Amino acid sequence: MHTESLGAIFLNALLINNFVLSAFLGICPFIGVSNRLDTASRMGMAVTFVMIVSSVCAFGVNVVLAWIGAPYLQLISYIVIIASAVQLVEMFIKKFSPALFRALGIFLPLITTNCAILGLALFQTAKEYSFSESLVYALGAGAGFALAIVLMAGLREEMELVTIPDVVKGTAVVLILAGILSMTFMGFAGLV
Amino acid sequence: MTESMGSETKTTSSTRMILTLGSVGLVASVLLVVTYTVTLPYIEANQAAYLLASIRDVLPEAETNLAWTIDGESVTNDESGSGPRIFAGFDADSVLYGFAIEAQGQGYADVIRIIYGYRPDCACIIGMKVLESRETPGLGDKIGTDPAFRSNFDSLDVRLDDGGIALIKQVGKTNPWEIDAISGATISSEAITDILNASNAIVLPVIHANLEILSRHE
Amino acid sequence: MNDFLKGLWKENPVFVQVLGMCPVLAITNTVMNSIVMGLATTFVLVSSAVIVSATRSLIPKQVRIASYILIIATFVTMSDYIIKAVSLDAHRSLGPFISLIVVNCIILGRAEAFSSRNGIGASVMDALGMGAGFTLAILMLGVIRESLGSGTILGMSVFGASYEPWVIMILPGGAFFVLGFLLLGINRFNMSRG
Repeated sequence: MHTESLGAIFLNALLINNFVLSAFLGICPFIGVSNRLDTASRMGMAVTFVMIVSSVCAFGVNVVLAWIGAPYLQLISYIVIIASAVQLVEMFIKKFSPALFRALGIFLPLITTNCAILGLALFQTAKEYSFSESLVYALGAGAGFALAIVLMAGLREEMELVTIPDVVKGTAVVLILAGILSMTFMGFAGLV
Repeated sequence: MTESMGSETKTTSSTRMILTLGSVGLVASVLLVVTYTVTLPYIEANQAAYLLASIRDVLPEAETNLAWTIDGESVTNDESGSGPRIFAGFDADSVLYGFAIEAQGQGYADVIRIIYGYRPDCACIIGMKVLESRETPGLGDKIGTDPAFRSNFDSLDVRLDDGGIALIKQVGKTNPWEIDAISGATISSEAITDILNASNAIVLPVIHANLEILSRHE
Repeated sequence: MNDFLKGLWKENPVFVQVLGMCPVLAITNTVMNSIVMGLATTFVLVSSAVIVSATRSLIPKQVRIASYILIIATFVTMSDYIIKAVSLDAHRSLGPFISLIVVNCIILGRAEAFSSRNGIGASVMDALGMGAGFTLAILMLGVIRESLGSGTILGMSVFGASYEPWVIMILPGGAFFVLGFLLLGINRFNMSRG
């Protein structure tokens, strides 16, 4: 029984409970891939695509598992789906845009271990979303991830033009920046 | 004591690969089925205990309870229904005491789930407990912990012909159907008001229409 | 013995290898959560280390990652059910992050880098060390965040009733800040030595 509208679900995943800055999912690629704006935006697109595919498949798997009464196979099935979804997306991109494929390089297979995708599948199951709700949620989550990573990339590119103390260089400064970003996103609460 | 993968020069047959994955999958499934069956009674006991404790929290005199699901205008024992769940609470003499009603709705940060106690003979809410919330710690989450806020629900008038519960922002409610908001957590307090009003509009008429069925303690 | 010790400091999975970030930030808002998560992760690390090491000559190279993931997912699911059976409260506060242990790069990383190439004894030591290092790191974060953000440790008040909690610490922003500043401190420490 849900009282959330589709728009509310989308805004929730995108801004209010942003997948990266609030729910702590997808941190590894967020730290690793956010140094360049172009790779960041590509990663954001690839992740959104994989999220939508996985969300749909996870929904289907849940129906099957409920039907055969084997809820303990949920985690394993989700992993298998995500790995396959990533394979599919990889083949798709390779075929239709070899340049993009080369640009993404190692990042594409790494999406499999991206906790954001598995997190999305687990959250949508926990919230018992319907099919359309799951789809909108996946869109919002992917957009939220892309938003966060692009913002961070923009900030990091700006930072390269200035001198920062040696102690913060690397992951430390990314985390502190992420903290500030997370605080600003808190301002979106109460939007719906 | 490292071992080198000596089979690198040999091509591994597809059968071998499928066999490996298959056996791993088989062992995995067996382990999982065993874990699931062993832990199931404990998990169910835990969940039943938690539910009972929550119902007792809002319906203090209830010794036993029966679960019902709202199905349109009537009630059903069918647990798989998607309508709101209510629990008919019976006291030590197996007389209907009141109902514990589950409800949920959008709060400030995320969905809030509550359970509240309702007594049909006074048409009032006698208790409210927050089951799940992601409200701001220290501010919004006071809806679950602040004693002054919780005392709002000790006997809240929710007669069917009224306009519903009203939230008073400046502390100082005057009517039995009003509740005082928590200062600094207006949106979370409003959320609780909205959740209760929405739930009452759907659930209370059905309860009163089916009171005879629900009073049965079988 | 060295296999065990290196996981604690020199190759600490959180502070040095910077792996497994998601749970580190998400569940360190209370010390209890950190303890349960540390235990669960160590359990998965050790059990998968045993299985991966024992079957390392049996699993063909091409399907090894898939097999490891299957093995890890099994133990994670087991932990999930065990935690749920022991304490519904703990399960509720950790939520889906228990299941997310399966994509914690630490576990797959150790299986690939160590357990698949070493005997069972050494692999168990390595897994225990990594698990201990991980638990130590998240405990540190948990203590800082819970004491500053709620004024308590394990639910018991540390600063007295008049303490005004520094709420940001238990919110997402605080998690980022605490880990960021801890890494900063470690950088400083390493720089002053080297």
